Formats: sequence, structure tokens, C-alpha cells
Amino acid sequence: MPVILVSSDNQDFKVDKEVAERSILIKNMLEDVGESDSPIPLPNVTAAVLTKVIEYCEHHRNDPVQVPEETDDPRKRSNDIEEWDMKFMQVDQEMLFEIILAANYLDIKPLLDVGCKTVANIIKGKTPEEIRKAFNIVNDFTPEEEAQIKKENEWAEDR
Amino acid sequence: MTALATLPLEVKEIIAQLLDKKALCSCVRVSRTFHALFLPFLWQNIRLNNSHKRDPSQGSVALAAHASLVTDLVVIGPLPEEYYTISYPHLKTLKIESFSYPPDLTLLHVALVRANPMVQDLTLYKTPSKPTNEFWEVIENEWIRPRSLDVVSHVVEPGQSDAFWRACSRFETLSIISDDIPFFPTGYKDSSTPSQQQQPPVDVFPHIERLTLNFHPVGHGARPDHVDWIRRCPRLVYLAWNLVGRRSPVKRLAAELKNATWPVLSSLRLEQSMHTDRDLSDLVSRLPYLRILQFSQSTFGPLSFAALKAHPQMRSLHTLSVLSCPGFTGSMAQAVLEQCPVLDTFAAPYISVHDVAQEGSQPWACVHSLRFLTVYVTCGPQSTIKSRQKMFDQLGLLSNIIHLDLGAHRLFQLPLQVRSQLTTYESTLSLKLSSDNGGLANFVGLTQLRHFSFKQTPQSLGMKEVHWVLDHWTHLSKIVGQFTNTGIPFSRLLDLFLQNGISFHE
Repeated sequence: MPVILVSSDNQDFKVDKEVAERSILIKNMLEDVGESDSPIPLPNVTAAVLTKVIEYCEHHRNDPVQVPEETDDPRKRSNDIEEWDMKFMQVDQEMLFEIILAANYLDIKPLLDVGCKTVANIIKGKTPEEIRKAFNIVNDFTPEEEAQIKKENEWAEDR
Repeated sequence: MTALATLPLEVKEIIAQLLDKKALCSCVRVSRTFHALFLPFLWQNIRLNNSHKRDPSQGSVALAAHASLVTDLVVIGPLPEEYYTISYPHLKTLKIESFSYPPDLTLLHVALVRANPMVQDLTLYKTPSKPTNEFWEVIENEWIRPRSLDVVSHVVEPGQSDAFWRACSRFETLSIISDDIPFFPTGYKDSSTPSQQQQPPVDVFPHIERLTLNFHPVGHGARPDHVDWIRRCPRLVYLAWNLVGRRSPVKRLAAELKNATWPVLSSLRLEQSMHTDRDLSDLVSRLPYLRILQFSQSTFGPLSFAALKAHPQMRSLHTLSVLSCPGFTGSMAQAVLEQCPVLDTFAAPYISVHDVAQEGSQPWACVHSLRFLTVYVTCGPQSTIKSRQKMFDQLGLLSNIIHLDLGAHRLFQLPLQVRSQLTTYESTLSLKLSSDNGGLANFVGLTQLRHFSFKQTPQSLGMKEVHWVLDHWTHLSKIVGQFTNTGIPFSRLLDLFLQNGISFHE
């Protein structure tokens, strides 16, 4: 049974209920609204981003519902992204953050996790200057301040 | 403003948790915003050990400056004295280890616990110097909300145990692995041992809910019967007790259960005691609730199983571990899988294809809840393609399974007469893709699998199977078993798995 989602720029998207319900927010809304088939407005998500989100949910429509993890890895890994997901995340940085924001708003935990792991993988292994370049960040420390911070914190690096 | 800065705080925290310390060290130097966001994650877990690469005095200065960010601390002594007096206002977990003796660190350890009364979870790990009365007195009187105590090795100086027992009464979770758990005086006048005629230091341990005891007494002296103080834990929910070859505590436990000494007890783990199937069945039938039963390598057999089946709470069973129990049969395993809808962990010696496929057998109720399964699948001489398919189908429905162990190596812990009935060689499920039942292809639905073992089962798997594993089990982190037909050397196969984040063992 199809559900109609409406993006912030007023574009309609028809998706199967099963796909839409990968979003816990939408799932709860549908439960509240019952059998009505009025479209669901998503004022925080533009059409471009919603297209990507729906693509993810379609591909993962048959994944089992995630059981909350009783940690057997307390240290979360970021090197276990599936190949399809990795290709899916090869977008420009602005879209990457928009997808993360949308996944957070729509409560799609697996998509949020993949997005965050992607960002973590961008950060890992880089020097501070490389991180600034990667995210277009202005350095607002003086060289003395930065040296001081390096000194204060390098002790913790291998603790 | 960068897009990264506009993410909500809870999302930034998810990202920070994924970063290692090296990345966090780079992040705090990037900008003021990054510094504020990532600094707590850099300092929240600290491990101090005595192999300093950098100047030790600089370390204690940096540590003191960031003390308010530290929530989890491991102290591996000996360290310079100033490290033991730093107070961490938000410290939650403290683990004290030390590998060398001398120096005697007892006084320093007292200073450490005195400086940090807000700790909730304390671990003492193999500290050669014995904690003194004063150490335990600080915890008894000065600690604000202790929650769990985990002691491995020495507990307390001999003859100074009262404060230890009083400190224990403040904790909810207690785990002691030691060869010198002190006597608990019971105050019984007719007791033969003089120490047992003193008044008990504690009447009741009102908070203890989880208790793990592993007592390895040295020598052949009198062994205290710990039931005398365990019975003073009215809120006990979980009891794990390594009984080291003694039978009487099991009978005493059963007697206490009859008296409703532990009205909320639901979980038992008993190992290496000389109990009988009947003793165990008494325990099972008298448990007020059922959640976790761990009786591996025990005499759990037909009587205990009957008690389990008859128990009104059988359907709430979460964990059943009966590995290498010669009395636990395949049909018992099938019954558990059929009847326990919230079963999360199950470890049994074997299950037969016939048990699953025969007339009257029901589908497994736990297909969505089961996350850990260890069982050897035996086909037996009469199995057909159809009946083996039923077993594959059933296993293939375990959508949330993360740990699946079908290995044969534990069968050698079973007595010969049981083993020979299983006709071990020739007859387990073939995982080969080209076999009659399709082998591994049946497991395409096990998308959450992290650990898979087919150790010491006769298979002849090759590169087709290797690639199938790499393509389908994307969360796999460990695989155990032999791929005898790949045509490539073991080291290359090892590398191939490693490149995909999977550790490989034969």
C-alpha cells in the first residue's frame, strides 16, 4: 500500500508503506493517523535529500529491525560499511550532512550510523590542517594557542 | 559556518565516539569549536601504566588539569605518588592493577579510593599487595554510591575482614575470584571453628543483586560454606558459583530455595561441582523465576530437563547453556527452541536433523530473538535431502543471529558412548554451495552475523564459498573452520579475510 511523502519544496513522493516505515518517525505518524491516505509533509527535508533517503530505504527494505545492541563491541567500529552503502555515501559533503540531518530527523538509525561512520572515516588519519581543508574550517587559534593545546593533550594520545 | 558545526549535538557525539585517540588529538587542535566538542572524548577513558614514554611529572599535571573530564580510569602501578592523590569529580569506573611487588602499594591505594568517593564500579585486578581494613573502611564509609565490585585475587589482609564484609554490603553487584575469601562469622554457637563463633559483621546485604564467586582455596584447610552469607542477600537475582568439586552447597542452595530465601532469583550459573542430575533438577524446579541457566559441563540431564519443562516460567528463558552435558539430547534442544520465544542465547551439545524434521515437530519460536547459538548439527544415517533442508530452513530464519557456532570440536568432551551415537564423521550439514541442499546459500538471511564457526567439521569448501561469505555476511568479524579446497595457501586466505576486517582461524 503506497504512502505519499511531501518534501519541504512541495514535491510528492509515492513509496510503499514498508519502505516508508524504515523511518520510525513516519511509522509512528502512520500508526496515529490510521487508515487515512493523506500525504505526510516533511518540512525539514528537501526533494533532493528525500530522493536519496528513499533510495536507501528501498535498498534496505528487507533488513531485520535492529535489536538494541548489548555491546559485544563497546568500541564502535567505522570500518564495517557495506559496499552498496559506501557507494551510496559518495556524495558531496553538503549532501552528506543533509542526509545525516534527515536520518536524524526521520529516525532512521542505520542510515544515521552509516553517515556518522562516513564522517569519522574522513577525519581519521588526518592532521589538523588536513581536517580543516576537508571540512572548510577556519583556524581560529593563534600558533601559540595551537602549540599549547598540542602540548596539553598529546599525553592523552596513547593513554 | 561549516556544515559539520550545524549538526545537532547528539549526532556530533555519535561521530566523536567512533574516533580513536589519535584522531581526537588532531581534532582538538583544528578550531575552537572542534576543541570544545572533542576534548571530553579524548579524556573520558584514561589508562595509566608505568611504562611512560613521556615525562611522568608532565603526565600528572596534564591529568590533573583535565581531571573533570575523566569518567573511566585504569591505574596499573607502580606509579609516582602524585598520581594516587588526584581527585576526578566525575569518575565512574576505577580499575586498579599492579604487576610488581615490591613496592607495597597498599597505602597509595587507600589514598586513591579516598580521593575518589564518587566511583560506582571498582575492579581490583591481581594486585599483589593485599587491601587493608582501612581500604575497605574508606569504601564502606566514604563512598557515595558504589554499584559494583570486582575482585580478582587478593581480597584483604588476613584477620581484617570485617570492614571488607561491611563494604560488600554497599554494592549491588559483587564478583570475587580469589583463593582467600575470608571466613564470614555466622555467630552460630555450636559451630566447631572458633572464628565462626563471632558475631556476623553484617546481618544482611540489602543491595546485592548479582553475585559471582570463584573460590580456589589453597591447601586442604576447612572450606567455609559461603551459603551462610549468600543467604543474607534477599534481592539476589543472579548467582554464578564455581563450586570446585563440592556437592554440599548445591543441596544447601536447594534447601534455601525451598525456604524462599531469594524471592527474585532467576539466574544460576554453576560449574565444576559434584552435583547430580537430581540435585540440579531440585534447584531448577525451585527457582522463583527463570531467565539465565548456565550449567555447561554438568550432569544436567533428563531430570533437570523435566524440571525445566514443568517450570511455569519456562517461556521467559533468555539464556540456556548446557554445553558438553552428556545427558542433554537433541530432542531436548528441539523442545527448548520450539518453546522459548524470547530465547537469546542457547548452547547445547548437539541437535539432530531428525529432531527438527520429524512428524509433530514445531517451528522454532525463537527465530527472531536468538542471537547466540552453539550446537553441533548431526544428520545421522537416515537423514534425507528433505529433512536436512528443514534444518537449513530453520537455521536460515535466524534473522538476528550474531554468533553461530556449528563446530564439532566440543564433542570430544562428551563420553564415548554419547559420541559414537552421533556418528560424528560423515554426517553434519554440508556447507558447500554445490551440495544437494545448497549449503551456505541457505544462510543468506543471517545478515547480522558477526561470528561463524564450523570448526573441525568435515567440509570441502573452496574459493566459491569464501567469496560467498565475503559478499553476503557484511558484518562478519570472525570465521573459524577449514577451507580445504581453495587451492591457495593458508597465509593468502588469511590475508584475504583480514583485508575485509575478518579474523580467520582453523
